[in-house]
Amino acid sequence: MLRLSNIHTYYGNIHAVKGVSIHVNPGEIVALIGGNGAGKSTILRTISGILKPASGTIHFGSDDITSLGPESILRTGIGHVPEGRRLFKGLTVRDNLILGAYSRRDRDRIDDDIDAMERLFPILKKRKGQIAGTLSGGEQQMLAMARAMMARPGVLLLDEPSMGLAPIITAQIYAQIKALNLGEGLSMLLVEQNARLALNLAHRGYVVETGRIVMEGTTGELRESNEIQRAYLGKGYREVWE
Amino acid sequence: MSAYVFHVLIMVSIFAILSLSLNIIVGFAGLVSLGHAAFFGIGAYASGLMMIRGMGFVPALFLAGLCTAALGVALALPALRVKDDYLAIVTLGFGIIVVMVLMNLEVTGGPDGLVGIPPAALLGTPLYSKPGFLALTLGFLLVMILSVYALKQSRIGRAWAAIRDNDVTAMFMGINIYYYKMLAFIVSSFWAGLAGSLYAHYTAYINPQTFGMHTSIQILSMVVLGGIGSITGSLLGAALLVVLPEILRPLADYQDIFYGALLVTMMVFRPQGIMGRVKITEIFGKK
Amino acid sequence: MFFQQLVNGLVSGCVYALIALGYTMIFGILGIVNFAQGEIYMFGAFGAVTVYAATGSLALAILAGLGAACLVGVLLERFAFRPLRGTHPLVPLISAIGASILLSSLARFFFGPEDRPFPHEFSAATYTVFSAHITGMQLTIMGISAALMTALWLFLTMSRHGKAIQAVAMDSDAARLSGINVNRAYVATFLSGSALSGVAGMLMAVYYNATSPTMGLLPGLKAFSAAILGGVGSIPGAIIGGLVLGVAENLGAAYLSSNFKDAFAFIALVLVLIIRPRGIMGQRK
Repeated sequence: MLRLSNIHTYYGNIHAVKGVSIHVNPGEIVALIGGNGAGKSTILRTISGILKPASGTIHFGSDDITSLGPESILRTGIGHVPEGRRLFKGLTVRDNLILGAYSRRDRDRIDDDIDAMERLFPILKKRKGQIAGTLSGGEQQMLAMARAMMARPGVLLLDEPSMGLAPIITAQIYAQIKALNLGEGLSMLLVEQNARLALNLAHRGYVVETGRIVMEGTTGELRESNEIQRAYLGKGYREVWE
Repeated sequence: MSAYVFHVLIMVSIFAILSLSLNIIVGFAGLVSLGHAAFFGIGAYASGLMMIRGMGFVPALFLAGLCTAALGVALALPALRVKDDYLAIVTLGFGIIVVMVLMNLEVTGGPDGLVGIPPAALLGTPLYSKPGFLALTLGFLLVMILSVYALKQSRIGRAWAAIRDNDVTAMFMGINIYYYKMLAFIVSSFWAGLAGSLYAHYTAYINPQTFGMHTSIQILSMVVLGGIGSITGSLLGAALLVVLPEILRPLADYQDIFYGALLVTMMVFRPQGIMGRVKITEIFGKK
Repeated sequence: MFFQQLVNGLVSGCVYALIALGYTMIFGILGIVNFAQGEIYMFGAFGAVTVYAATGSLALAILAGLGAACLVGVLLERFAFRPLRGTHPLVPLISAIGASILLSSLARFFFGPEDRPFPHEFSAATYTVFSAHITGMQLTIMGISAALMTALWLFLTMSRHGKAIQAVAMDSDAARLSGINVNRAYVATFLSGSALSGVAGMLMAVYYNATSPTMGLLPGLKAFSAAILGGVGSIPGAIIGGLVLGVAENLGAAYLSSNFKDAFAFIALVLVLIIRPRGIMGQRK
């Protein structure tokens, strides 16, 4: 469905992504795990067109989207929930949702979709007229996801949805991500520093280190790998898992 | 050489002092000033008034520099509370106010300006000849180049560079950014004042229009054309922008079209200026 | 006397506010100061005067004025600012100054240095309110300004495209990820800012019955001061700043010194920056 082939991306003078090839199948959640600065976010930003790859191709379905701008890429069906939520903080919750649907032509159905998002994230209904910047971290994450969903994407790129959130809120967010995947059949590419969370949720995963994919497999395989346990899951993980 | 060539060379050296002095603010400290001609004017008027009242050339010259530096402090006190575009408008407003004051005061002769300013004199001998005056301005220019170069290499110059690249980081490095920005204004306005004094005694007649926004923009164009932060660039910029209009005198009406287009195209295509080096490219290129 | 000066001040304040809105919108979305805003104002006036002289039709003249102002604004965005996105703040600043000089000297080249009259007769009726005489023209200026400000406010806060412009101003990358074409938002901002300045220019051309290549310089600078006074980036700030400046300037000229009328704007600016560097309506980032 979404396929990156040998993508190289520069971030200023830094060669941040060095020949990455990954794919996401329909209905699948794929996790990108790896340390700080490994290039995970850069991969997502390259897919959604904020950054241009220096070489390589990106295909979505049968379309080559490598050279498209972010607005066109969104219209082909790739939604991106950026790192740090990046809400329009001075606008209301409702305005954020309306702007999420900015690229759509079927305007008459936007209100229905706002209702659908408010069913999925009931807190957003309560906060409707509130300025987005005044929401709590968890609420902001929900709004960011709902905003991206308003464009009716086929694939959702999720960048660090757990960042800065308390464990109990994170669990709630992850349950909602799972519901989106099951309910809407939405494919996802999930970037997460918390490898344990990501590997529990996803079907498959890639491990990114210094701009390269160093390992890939089903999440079961990855969880069993010694290196992953040592590097990303920590000692304590083994005890919890077994 | 004809008197005309000497005249052009004298103007080049006076404007070279001005563009170098503005380069201290813009290029070294990364600030901006759109009112630099006001300093030039203050120096010219101060020196002219003092000599008309009987003071000797050398004390008048240095007092004019000091007066201008004092005014530089007066401007910098409020102006340095703000940055970038705000600073641009404050300095621009300052330039307009200074011209307005010169226009309206009785002592400065109002719109007619000051007439009959005595010529420069060294050791009691007035300098009437153009070659003699050129030697004087070149001497000042040389001293200035050396001192500015030394300043750039010194601890102060490094502090300025740090502030120019990122003033917040500079502050966290323990640099008193307010003090160093102030220092840039003081040094710069002092030299601009000296240039004003030299100009006043050279032309013997000054009026407020000479020191308006047009001249401020002209000096800024010199700095930008040569290369922001580059000493040789400032000299080259001054030489080009004094000599070119002389050559293109028949096209004098289009001079401002040329300045405007020059500033825009330089910024779009070569923001580092003619003499810009790789380092400056990085600073003024993509951030 | 006082009320008369107040009215005169509000009239020039309206014009400053219209231009200041252009400054503040462009600053809000691009983070740059369009120093050539006063030249857009001037081109608006010249567009109208030229076409009026040729055709005698006020409607065509207004269209031409709007068209000229918008054209200049869009060209500026495309050629003087867009290539400079993401550079050191000095770079667009100097480019804008250059554009401003270029435009005013081009106007002198095409239209000549002399003042041109705007030979349209408007109603000479005056109304007396609290001992102040208000002319029909003054009422027109205040009415049109108020209508345009309201329209701008409604556009930005109520319409989808207006909200999109706000979104780009808040976070341009997030806006792109929501499918908003940021270049289009920049152009729309320049267009609306230029249209407002163009209208201001036409109003002043009629009010003073004079149009000249340098007419944009002082109003442009004062409007920028007004934008700073109100807090750059704030729409209500630009309006309040413009009105405060217009009134302060007229009262200052009447009660202090008329020679220094043009200096009051800058003195007020310096005072505000000392007391409240972010302006009256400015907020912390």
